[in-house]
Amino acid sequence: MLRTVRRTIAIVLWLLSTLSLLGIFRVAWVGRIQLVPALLAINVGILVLLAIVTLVFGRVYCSVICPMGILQDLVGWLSRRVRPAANRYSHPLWGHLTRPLILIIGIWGFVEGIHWLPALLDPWSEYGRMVTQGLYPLWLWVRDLLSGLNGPLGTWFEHEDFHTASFQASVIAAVVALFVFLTAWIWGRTFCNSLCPVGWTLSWLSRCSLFTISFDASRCDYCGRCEARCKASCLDARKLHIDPSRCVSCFDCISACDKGAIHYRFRYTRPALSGKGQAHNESRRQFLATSALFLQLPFVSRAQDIIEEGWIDEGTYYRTEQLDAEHEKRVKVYNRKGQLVVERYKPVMPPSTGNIARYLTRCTSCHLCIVHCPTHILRPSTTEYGPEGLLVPTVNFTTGFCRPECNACADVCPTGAIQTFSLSRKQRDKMGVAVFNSLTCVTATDDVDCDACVRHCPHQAITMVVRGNHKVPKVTVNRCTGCGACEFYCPALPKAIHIEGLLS
Amino acid sequence: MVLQDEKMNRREAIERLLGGSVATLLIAGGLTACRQRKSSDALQANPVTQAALHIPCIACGDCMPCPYGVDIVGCFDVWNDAADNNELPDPKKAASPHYAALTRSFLADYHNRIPLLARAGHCINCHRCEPLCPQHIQIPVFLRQMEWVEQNAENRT
Repeated sequence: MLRTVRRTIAIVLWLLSTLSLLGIFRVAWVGRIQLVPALLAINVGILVLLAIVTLVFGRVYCSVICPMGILQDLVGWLSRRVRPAANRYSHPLWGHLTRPLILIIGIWGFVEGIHWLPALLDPWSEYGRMVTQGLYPLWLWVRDLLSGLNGPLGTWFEHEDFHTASFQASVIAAVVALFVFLTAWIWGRTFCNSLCPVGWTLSWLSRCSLFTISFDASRCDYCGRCEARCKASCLDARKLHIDPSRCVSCFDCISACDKGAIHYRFRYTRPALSGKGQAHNESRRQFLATSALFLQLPFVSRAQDIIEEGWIDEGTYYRTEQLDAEHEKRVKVYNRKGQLVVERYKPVMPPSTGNIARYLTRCTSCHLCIVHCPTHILRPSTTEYGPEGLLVPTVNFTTGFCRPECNACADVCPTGAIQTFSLSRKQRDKMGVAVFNSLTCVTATDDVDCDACVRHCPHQAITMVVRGNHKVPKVTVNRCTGCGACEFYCPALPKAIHIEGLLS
Repeated sequence: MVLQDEKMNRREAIERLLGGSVATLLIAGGLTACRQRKSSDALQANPVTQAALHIPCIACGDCMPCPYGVDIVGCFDVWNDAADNNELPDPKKAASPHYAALTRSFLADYHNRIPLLARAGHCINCHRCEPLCPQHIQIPVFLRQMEWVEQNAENRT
């Protein structure tokens, strides 16, 4: 009974998170209830809720909410179907050491600003990258097939010219997926038991949970079925002992026992042994200290205004020589024919992300925004943010522009890296600023009149001024939001008008 | 009203449908400007058959290749297919319940048939194609009209 309830909720949540990571549904709360995103977003309500759930039911988070945990369960379940002979998982001793070590490494990376370290360890973003880099291209291919259908079904699907996978992200996701699948196939929940810092942190809470799995020694005949079925390899049938750091309250052992010797019971019916109460308190204190470390870090910082920097003055033309001397061109975008489309000095971040430090600290690269961007302008970064910002979504205006009536990325972002914004704020918040280069403009190279950038600017930030025989654009920096419509529609190659990011 | 008169030429029909001069409306351009315009009551009272919007393109391809990569013939083909079946998502009638379905089918058809960088929005209004057209179609005007319908459709999806 308990097991059926657990499995139903788990499958529903897993499907919801997978489908929303595939862009089929937009179910934002599935990401928001994950622990690391909630920590990064300082989502107190969710954190309290998760703590209460763990304190009452034990570590159900890992077997019900976390999609990575459910995926490992599914793989393990399949593997037991295929090869039932090897049905007992074992847990190596080093597994007890690796999790605290990895948690420390993750926190160290977080504090030092090595962004990809915590991003690599967070199970939700791991799972997100696995789906968006592995399954999503497949889904796009299926969608292409379906879009060829005649009739009403075909109108629901559109052909996509571009895919959102990137080489680095695919390789990282593939390595992780291979590791998780293989280890889950052979040893069960290895990632969860030996590596995942989230599960380890929660296990300290679950040690004093109200309900716990307990044995009735008088009924037990030590047949060992429960141990064989335990997917977390946490149960010792001889000593009738459960390792609380690994048990995820999956109730598999309860359904395995035909003697009725295992129960899911209120823990504190009998007075606890004198030594144990103190141990609980200590572990709780330890957990609180750990979470306080997270909370004390300086998250909030103000967005910085590019105009203060002084290298782009309002209404003046862009002096490339001067910029060349001061900055390096970090971002280079090529089209499929290998032609240079855009060179940027500074990468463009998604809207409403504040400054670069804040953005990189908060984002765990789950790539949910990348999938949900309707114009597919968000891509995993490679070198744009430097080595510490690998895989964090960046903006490329090769497939469209940031539509003024859209806030899908902020709507889905579970960590608050892209802050929620109203559409009226979208009309004035900057994600970059348009910069004009008269050398490559078609008015100079092709000697034609062109008004593509002016016509498409949703904020009327571009006006035309006469220069020689033609009119060329002039950007009003105060109005420009950096939505990239001008860059996307600019006919020149490389683009004569492009967006510069706002980082400093 | 005027639109029911069959003798009205195509340009007038479009101008009537868009509620003003095509040129001024489209040069005013941006999304916001388009969205702020109010729908004309006369149009909603008197439904127009969109066959009047058929572009007399014979797909000879003389205008192609467009130096800026617009698939002119393909775009007109998509437009005509929708117009002939009375399935253009008229932004003026965005409130009507059919608009969402029309939007979806029009956009799907358009996006599936025309590659991203060959769509009507990439016309830069250089008018190089106009003298080449044996049918004397004002190609940039029609491309802008198409883009206007597309942008309005995308705004609502």
